[in-house]
Amino acid sequence: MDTAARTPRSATALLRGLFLALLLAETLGGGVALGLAAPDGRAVLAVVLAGGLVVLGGVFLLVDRGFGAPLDRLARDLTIVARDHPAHPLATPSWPWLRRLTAASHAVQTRLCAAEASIADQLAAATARVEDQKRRLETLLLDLSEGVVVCGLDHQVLLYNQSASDLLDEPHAIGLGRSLLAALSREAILHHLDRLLHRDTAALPATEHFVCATATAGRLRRARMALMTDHAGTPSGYVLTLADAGAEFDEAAQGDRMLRTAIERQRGMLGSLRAAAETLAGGHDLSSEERERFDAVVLHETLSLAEQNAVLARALDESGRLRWVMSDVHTGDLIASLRRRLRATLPVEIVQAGLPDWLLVDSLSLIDLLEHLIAMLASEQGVRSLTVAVARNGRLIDLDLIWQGVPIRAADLDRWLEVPFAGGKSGVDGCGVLQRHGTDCWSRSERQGEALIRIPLPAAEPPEAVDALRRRPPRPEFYDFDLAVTPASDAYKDRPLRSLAYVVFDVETTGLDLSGGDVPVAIGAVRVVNGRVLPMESFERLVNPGRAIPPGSTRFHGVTDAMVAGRPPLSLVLPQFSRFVGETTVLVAHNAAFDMTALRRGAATSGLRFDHPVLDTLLISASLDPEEKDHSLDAIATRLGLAVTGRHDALGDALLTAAILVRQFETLEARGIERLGQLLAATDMHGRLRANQMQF
Amino acid sequence: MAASVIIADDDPNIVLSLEFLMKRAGYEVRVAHDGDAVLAAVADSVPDVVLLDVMMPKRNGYDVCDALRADPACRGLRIIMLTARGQAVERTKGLALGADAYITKPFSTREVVELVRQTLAGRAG
Repeated sequence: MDTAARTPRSATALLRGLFLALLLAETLGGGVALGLAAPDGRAVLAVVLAGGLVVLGGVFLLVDRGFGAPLDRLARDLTIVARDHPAHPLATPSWPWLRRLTAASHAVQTRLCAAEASIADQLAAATARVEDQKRRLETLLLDLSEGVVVCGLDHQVLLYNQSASDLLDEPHAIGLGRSLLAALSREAILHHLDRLLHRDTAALPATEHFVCATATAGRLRRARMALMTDHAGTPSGYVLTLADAGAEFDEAAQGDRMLRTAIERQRGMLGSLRAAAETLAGGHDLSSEERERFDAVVLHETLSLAEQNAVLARALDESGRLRWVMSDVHTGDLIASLRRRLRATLPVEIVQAGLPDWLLVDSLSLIDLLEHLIAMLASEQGVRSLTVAVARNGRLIDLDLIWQGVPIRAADLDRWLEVPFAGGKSGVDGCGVLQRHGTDCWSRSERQGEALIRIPLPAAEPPEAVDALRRRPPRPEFYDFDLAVTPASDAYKDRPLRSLAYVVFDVETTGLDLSGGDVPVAIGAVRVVNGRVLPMESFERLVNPGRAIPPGSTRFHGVTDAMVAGRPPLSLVLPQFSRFVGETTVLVAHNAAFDMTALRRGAATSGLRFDHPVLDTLLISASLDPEEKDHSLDAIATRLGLAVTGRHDALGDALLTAAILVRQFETLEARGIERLGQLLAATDMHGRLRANQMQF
Repeated sequence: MAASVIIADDDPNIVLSLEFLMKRAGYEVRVAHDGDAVLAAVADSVPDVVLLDVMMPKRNGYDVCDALRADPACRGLRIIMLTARGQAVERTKGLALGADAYITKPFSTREVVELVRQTLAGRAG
């Protein structure tokens, strides 16, 4: 029961109480007066008192029926008007004193009804407009062959169309309120959203174009992502449009072939022309017959060049529709997609190796090519497991298929490339795919007993926003020269560097004062086996430090309090990390004294031990390049030509450190440092030297 | 004894100039117009240098290079690839398959003569 209904009833009750009190007062007063009065006057007094009581009762009944009850009724009616039914009829009291109140109540009721009607009309009109717009939007979305998905920044799907659903793996792969990351390649979505959120308006486009794989079947979709903003201009979500990347390539392939052939022919003609002209002009003693033959060459090649020029001019007219749409594709996505496709067709195990990077390729046809090559390797060479390795080589990324065996003869590889793809969707053969990317492939042996097919592919430009994220200040250097001297080191010291298994890791902390209570907030690690980085075998955990992360530290590693809220504490993460590391492993970190101290302090309280041999890529770098002053992770990576476009988090740094380690092995071996013992000795010595220098 | 050169190219116009220049430089010259003919000529007698065009009928220059490098009888043979393909990847492929040098058309006649001379000198050294 609400307050509005209770208040008038209380007033009526007060009125009734008042009359009752008067009645009692009169009765009591009368009784007392009767007791005190002279006996002869009592009869008269009793009559007067009785008359008074009757009058009082009459007045009470009159007031209660004419005033109290109608007020109650009015209150009930108004409550119904206000709460349930604005047009509810108000009772009209019979007493004239209450009619003004009733009239006023009627007036309020009339205005209320009019206002309600007006709101209802406006609401109906607005609803009709929204419905209309919604219908138009629905028609538009339904009509689009492109899939459209609208998501919040948390990747929850807010809107999608049928085409989007059709383009994903299964009808229920996408749903309102569910995460898009469950339906499409997580890495691609996160990367491109990150680029949009961190873009410098002048430097990067407002939309991102890329190719990504569906989450389970690995089917490739061409995607375009744009940010949505709220009224204040703050990003609130994104719109993703999706299209099948399959059927649009034949024409472009033909155009590409024609242009390339024309250019090659021109080079050939120019070659003949130049050689003949130089011979003629070279002051050689030519016979008239020889001179005639050279003259004929000059004439013939000049005419051919003119003809070729006309062909090129025609090709130029059509070039607008002949250009390929190459997209940024993450090598991890590409290889994962390849692995998923192979799982359905071929019993070949794929291991991914090398530092993941971004390619600028037509990934669909590239996967067709890789699948085809692997199928040929399986059928003709019996290959059942291979490594797909990527390595940055200037503006190219070498993609290698590596297996145990012998290289494929060039003539055989050519034959494989001319066989049409069996289940491929891109409608070209291997030669076409290679031409499309302006590249070629070959087979050779780089290590004993191991062969590879190398395909150099164009690298994507480092995204500026991601690059900017990496430009954080490096951590100060820490030295702990007892790190390398552990009992386990002795057991491994005669082993070749490449034969050992490594876990390369990075620890991010609340601060740099580990002895003063700073603790880990993130651990990232990756395995390096047989001299190759294995990005699929990685470890990544955020750790709840149980204390606030100072903003100064967040500036180093980007980990915020919000990110670690609800994450497990170090006491739970460290045993997991210990299991990941295993026993027969060498631990590696950049500026390892810091990371190992952070690890061992945590381990001491958990009863764990990390007494593995330890390598420090910073000390290795300092010993290899004593002339260089900057041995920060980014500086070394830049010197080695490694892409520093990855995330600057624990795993991103661990991956980069791992790639640096593998490159350092090559340099170390070239300098005759091939065994762990030699390397530990060398780094220890140089480390002490640098530390001593820094004291002065 | 004069060093011997095989010029392998299907374009008679470039062969005309190269043959003339190589003879002028004092080399013994043979000519092959397709990939199979190169292998036959080498099998007949291993030359000191093969000037090897990439785009040839029957068997392309890469295949020929790969086959020659797989043949132990050709261990001392120098291979210079001549091609109208100008891309860095193709150059890398040629060198990966065992070519000693790579020159892109249109080249200077002086350059190619000098390259043959240097390549032979390198072998001698």
